[in-house]
Amino acid sequence: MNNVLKFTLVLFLVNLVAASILAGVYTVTRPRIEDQKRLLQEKALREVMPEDIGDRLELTEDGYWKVFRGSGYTPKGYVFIAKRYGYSSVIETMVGIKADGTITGVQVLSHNETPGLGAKIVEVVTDKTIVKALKNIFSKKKELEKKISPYFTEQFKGIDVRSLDMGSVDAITGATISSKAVVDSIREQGLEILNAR
Amino acid sequence: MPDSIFTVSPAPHIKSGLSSRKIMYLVALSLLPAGIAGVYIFGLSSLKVIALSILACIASEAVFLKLRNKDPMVALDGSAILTGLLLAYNLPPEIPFWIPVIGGVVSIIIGKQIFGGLGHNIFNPALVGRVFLQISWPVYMTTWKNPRWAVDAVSTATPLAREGAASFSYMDLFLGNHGGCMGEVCILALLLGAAVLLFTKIISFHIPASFIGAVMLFGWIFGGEGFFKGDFIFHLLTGGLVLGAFFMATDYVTRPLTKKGKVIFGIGCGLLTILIRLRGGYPEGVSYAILFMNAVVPMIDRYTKTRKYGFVQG
Amino acid sequence: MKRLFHEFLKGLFHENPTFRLALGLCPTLAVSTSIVNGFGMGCAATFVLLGSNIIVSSIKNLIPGKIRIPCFIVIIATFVTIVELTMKAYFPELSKSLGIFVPLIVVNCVVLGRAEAFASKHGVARSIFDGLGMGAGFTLALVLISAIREGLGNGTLMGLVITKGFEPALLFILAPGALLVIGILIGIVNYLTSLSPKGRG
Repeated sequence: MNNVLKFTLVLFLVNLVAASILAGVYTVTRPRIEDQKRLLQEKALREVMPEDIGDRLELTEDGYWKVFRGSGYTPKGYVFIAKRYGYSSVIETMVGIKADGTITGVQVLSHNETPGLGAKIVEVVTDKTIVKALKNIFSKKKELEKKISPYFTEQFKGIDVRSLDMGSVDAITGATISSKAVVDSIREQGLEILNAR
Repeated sequence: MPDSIFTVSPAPHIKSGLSSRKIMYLVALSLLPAGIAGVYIFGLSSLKVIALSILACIASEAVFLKLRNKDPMVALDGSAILTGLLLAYNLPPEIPFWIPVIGGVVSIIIGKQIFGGLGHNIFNPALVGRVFLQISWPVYMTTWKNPRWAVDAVSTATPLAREGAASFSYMDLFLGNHGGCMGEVCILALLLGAAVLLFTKIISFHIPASFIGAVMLFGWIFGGEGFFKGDFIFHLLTGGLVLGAFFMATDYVTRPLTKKGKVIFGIGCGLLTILIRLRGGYPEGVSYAILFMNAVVPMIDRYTKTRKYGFVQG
Repeated sequence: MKRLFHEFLKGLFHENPTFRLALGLCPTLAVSTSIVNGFGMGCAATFVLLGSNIIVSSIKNLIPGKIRIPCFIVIIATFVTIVELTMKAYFPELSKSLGIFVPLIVVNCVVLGRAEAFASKHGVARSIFDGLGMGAGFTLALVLISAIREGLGNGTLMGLVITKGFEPALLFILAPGALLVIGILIGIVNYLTSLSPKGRG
């Protein structure tokens, strides 16, 4: 028997079976994967823009979102992405502001700052200790889980974006440059959007 | 005495207890001026760091030697003391007490004893300890204290941190009148010690000269806006360059054997230092540069092998 | 039955893929930053190992020797893709933190190594136990390494703070810490096996 033909046939069959199995798995998982992706983006947007300020987000041509409530036409707030070079990388944040300039939330989307220093802009401190977790399992009275978010970006909430500077937030120890990049980029981008409306 | 030292210094592979011990103590002595300057500039807390670091090094060396069924008294051969001293010089003067202790233990055990002890280590032990601390507790390792007579004595950015530059005069940098690691700020004192080492021929000029030369050259070319506009004197006077070039890159065990190899080693260190300073995530690159070049020493040695009779000039 | 059990046990200890065979070190280094990640990666690799071992051992006589490697790769890649899609759909957080290393199980030398060295030479039953044992050994090693790294480098175990006031050494959570921990563990395992005459050779 012709070897080349045999090899081709075997490989073809193996691939055929593999491809059909994968096609099956893909069809089953695709809707769920897309759901997850959408959820993730929505979650990020919701995180910086609470529902009670506006529930309808509209992407503008300049790359930021206008936030409306119900069927209203005046924007109740804006969501934008701010970028600035920090210490060793571009720090990208998603920021939500109300129409009057008050910051409703900040989330760091991407960065590559020095671990332990600049990277602390996304650090989350948890007070869940092993002892507490064990106690929680064995006691009937469950302690309510506190929602934890990165403490650095948390302090931006409620500050007027126009007056945001290094004095209005606590910079991260040893990472003044990264902290300043976040603060400055948010203020400048926010001012631009507020002035442009 | 210079004669007896001359016979051992170019040949690190000859290990003779007495001579290497003598050399170790001489190097430690030559480091004294920089230590005194550090204590004078930053106060007595620096003395505590030096003592803790040396003690941790000697203790962990003795314990590990005991575990390996060797004579623990070898820990006093001077190499552990030197490692502890160099490690302390690489630390900020005011730092929690456990940092120099952990640094000393890591230096000796991971940097040296795991490879088989003195003479077998690939990397400079003090630098292994320093880099371990730098990566592990970056906040403590970059919280500098101003000289004790400064008005704002709490913490400052080291001149190398990008925004703190330009506020120091060259004379301040040369004398050590600024925040930094305790043993690397006073260039004058370091040069005094280095002169002793060069004069007694414990070290040759090849590594320090090519290292510092390369840092200044590449700092001049790439350090500024556009080419050939960098402040190369600033690059020379800040960070751990002088300490590293004279006292750590020249470590007998972890440097190349031949003159040609030493020059290649020095230039490599210099280039990497500038690269890390200008482009890296950490403000200082000297320790990483030396460690990296330590790793390629076997390769350098292989390609710069000497002929049978005498050296080939590089 | 005893022999089958032996195939399982050897993967855990004497032929542990990470500590004894030193296979699959890339994912081990990269994902062992937290116990959850390490365990997730271990389970994913175990599933792929088991699947590929079963298929390879059952069709080994149908595949001509000269094209066995491409066939193995296709089989492995199929299982990896199944894992990847499932993970993305049902465990998005885990899939995000394991990142590129799930698709990279395709080139994980543990999987191809077992397919080539064991499954293509032995029956289905023994291959199943070999796959399970190797997978369990890999998972065990990953969990051990990531427990040390998470504990020392982040001060937590499974995301729970060990004790207050402990200042974690960040190095362990970063790449150099992985190399240090694996190196020291391999040294300890070698020392322990050198003590027992059974482990030699």
